Amino acid sequence: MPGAGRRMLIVEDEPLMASLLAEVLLTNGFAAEIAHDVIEARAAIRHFDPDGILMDISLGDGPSGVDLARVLAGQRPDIAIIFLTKHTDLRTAGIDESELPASCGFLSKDRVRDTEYLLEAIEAVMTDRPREVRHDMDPGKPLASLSAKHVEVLRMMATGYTNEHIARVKGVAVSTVERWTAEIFKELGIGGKGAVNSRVEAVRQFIAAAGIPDRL
Amino acid sequence: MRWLREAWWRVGLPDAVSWPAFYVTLLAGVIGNFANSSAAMPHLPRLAIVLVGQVALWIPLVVLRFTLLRDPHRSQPLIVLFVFLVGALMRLFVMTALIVSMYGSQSLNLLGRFLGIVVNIGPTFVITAIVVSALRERRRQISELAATRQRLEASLIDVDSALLQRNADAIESVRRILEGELQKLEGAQAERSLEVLQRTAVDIVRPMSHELAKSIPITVAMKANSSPDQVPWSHVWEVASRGRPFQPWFVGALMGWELFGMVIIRPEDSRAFVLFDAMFVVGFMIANRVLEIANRGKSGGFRIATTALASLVVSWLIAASVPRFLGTSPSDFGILLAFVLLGPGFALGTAILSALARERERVIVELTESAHVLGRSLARQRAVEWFQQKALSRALHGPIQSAVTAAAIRLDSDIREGTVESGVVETVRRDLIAGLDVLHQAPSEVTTLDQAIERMRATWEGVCAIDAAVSDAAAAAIAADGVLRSCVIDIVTEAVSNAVWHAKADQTRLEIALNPQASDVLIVEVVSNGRGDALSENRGLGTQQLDDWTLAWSRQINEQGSRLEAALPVVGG
Repeated sequence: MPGAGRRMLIVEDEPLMASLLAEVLLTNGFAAEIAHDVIEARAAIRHFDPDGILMDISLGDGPSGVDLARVLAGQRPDIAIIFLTKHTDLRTAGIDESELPASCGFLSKDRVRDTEYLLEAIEAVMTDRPREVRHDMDPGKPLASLSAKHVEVLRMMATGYTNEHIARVKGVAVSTVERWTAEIFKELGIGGKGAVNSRVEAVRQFIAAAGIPDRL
Repeated sequence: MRWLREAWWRVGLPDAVSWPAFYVTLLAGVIGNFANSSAAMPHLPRLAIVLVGQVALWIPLVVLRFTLLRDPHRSQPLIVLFVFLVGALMRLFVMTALIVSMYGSQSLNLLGRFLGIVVNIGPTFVITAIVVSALRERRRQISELAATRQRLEASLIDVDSALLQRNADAIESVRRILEGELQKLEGAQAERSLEVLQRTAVDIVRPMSHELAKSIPITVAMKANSSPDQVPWSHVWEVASRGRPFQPWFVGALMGWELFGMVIIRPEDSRAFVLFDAMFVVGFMIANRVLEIANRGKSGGFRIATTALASLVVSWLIAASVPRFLGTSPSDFGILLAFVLLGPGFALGTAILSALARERERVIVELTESAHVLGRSLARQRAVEWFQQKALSRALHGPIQSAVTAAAIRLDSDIREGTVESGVVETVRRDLIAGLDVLHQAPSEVTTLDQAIERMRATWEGVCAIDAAVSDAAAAAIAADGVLRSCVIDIVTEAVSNAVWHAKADQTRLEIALNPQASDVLIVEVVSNGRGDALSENRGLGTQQLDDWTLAWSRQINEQGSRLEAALPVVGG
């Protein structure tokens, strides 16, 4: 059995999803426990002592799973952490990948239905091969050629903000934002001529890759 | 001293060179010339010479206005006064040349004349500059505030009227899309159904987000352009004539300054001039008292007429006493002109200007207050937008996505095991469609502020200690308002996260209380001992939330740590 008695903690605020994951894990030989928020997660870590954690990024009101994972990476580096996320590219969600523990894996929620994939992901992270489970780092993914900064600016453009507003939020000059947008257009292969509006085309590519972002 | 500095500032602004200043200095120049000149000259040519002199005085000022004096934010009083002196010299030379050319060489006291220009016209120019600048600034403030209020009202109407309807539209759009996808399960085989479910699970986020996002308006209160004056002159006249309309001491000061020029020319009559000035002060004091009684309960038109009449009566009575005290022939045109014109002019002018300033100040206060109220409403509505969007998004990404995924997993498992029962697909379809009701439901679980704080403590356990002090009144306000609660939780969560990750704070304190001066404002403070310089580099973190939801916010960073303070509107407070 893939689980071989290993203990997995599921930190997921959506009860149905949590029970689904637990069912899959239990069926495959894991010992599983569910925590619906950070408080329960902390208690479970103390008494359940998991080998790994399947953690949703969004845990309702309050700190996110990313915050908890970063703390645990320092306090309990022995625990393997796999994030569950709806985003194919964390950068499009405004999450700075460089701030995340390198030992974490990422699992797209829409692939959770694939049991084999889930088990392989858990195995990879637990055997110190987290990069095999970093679908967000796929070089072939959309927007792969963009830096984190460019993705952030493109996300703000897709939110509907003007260059002036982006400059104000980022604390830079408008000319700097204009330079960034020109770099984005170039990286995405968007020419400045023809009938296509560069800004609209860039936003269209972002939406195709990540959906329209939350306003904030 | 502050008013002196402000007056000095206004003298150097572009508004110092204005049409009102031209006309007022022209009047002062005419009166001064007629009152003080000893030259025998017919009145009309004298008037013409004064007019030409006035143009000569203003040419350098106009040139200055359109060259060095263009920036309304930069005051150059010394340059303005210097150019005025240059203009005064030009006036002197032009008028002297005209007089000599028309009436031959005369014994003209050029220095005295120059001093007369400076003493007579100079203060008039300066005072007019200050008054015009102040009034125009008030007018600009009113225009901007009025336009801003219009913008805020438009934004609020847009958000307020569309918010609920658009949210309902968003839910219906989402439901239609999901039902459309799920309808494809009808009559489908298990394998085909599994494909549909898998595709729905994958695509469920993007089209749903699209429907959500396009239905939520993004409203921004833009800075307004100027609009016409909000205080009608007819109203100002009416206000000026209420109660005690005249400013006797102000009139006395202005008349005194005009008489001072005459004292220089005729020092032997200085006592008489002092007496005249005192008569103006006392005369308008008496006029004030009389008008206060006579105009009580009378219409605006009546009051305006009596006020104007009173100013003429007082001035002309004093003018009529000039021959008695000065021994001057009644045909002395200059002094009579000064008293007859300047008396009512100063009296009515100061009354109107005083009323105008008061009315504009009142309008500014009212507009500021209304803008404040509208700003509160807009901040509240934006918070409601975010709250609804978050709730809808959670419904989609939580229960709905889970249900679709669960259905896909179960169907996948049945297919693999060869245990697909007939009718299972239809059952799955009906269950999923029924599950869409969650879109219309309020969240079943509500996170309280205390729970959110406990979650923060659990998250940062061993990294950062979190202390919280929430006043009873603030706790009650937060508990009663889900939107406010959500905003407060998001703000403190973001602030603590920033303090820990970017400023390496290990101690954080939350203080939440109602504003002691305004119970409809909630003050949220997050204080940490994080190293401030790292935090200051991250300008964008959560600032959009603060800009949208708060009435005001500030962040102070120093070597000891950082302090974030935000004020949020409390509904029903």
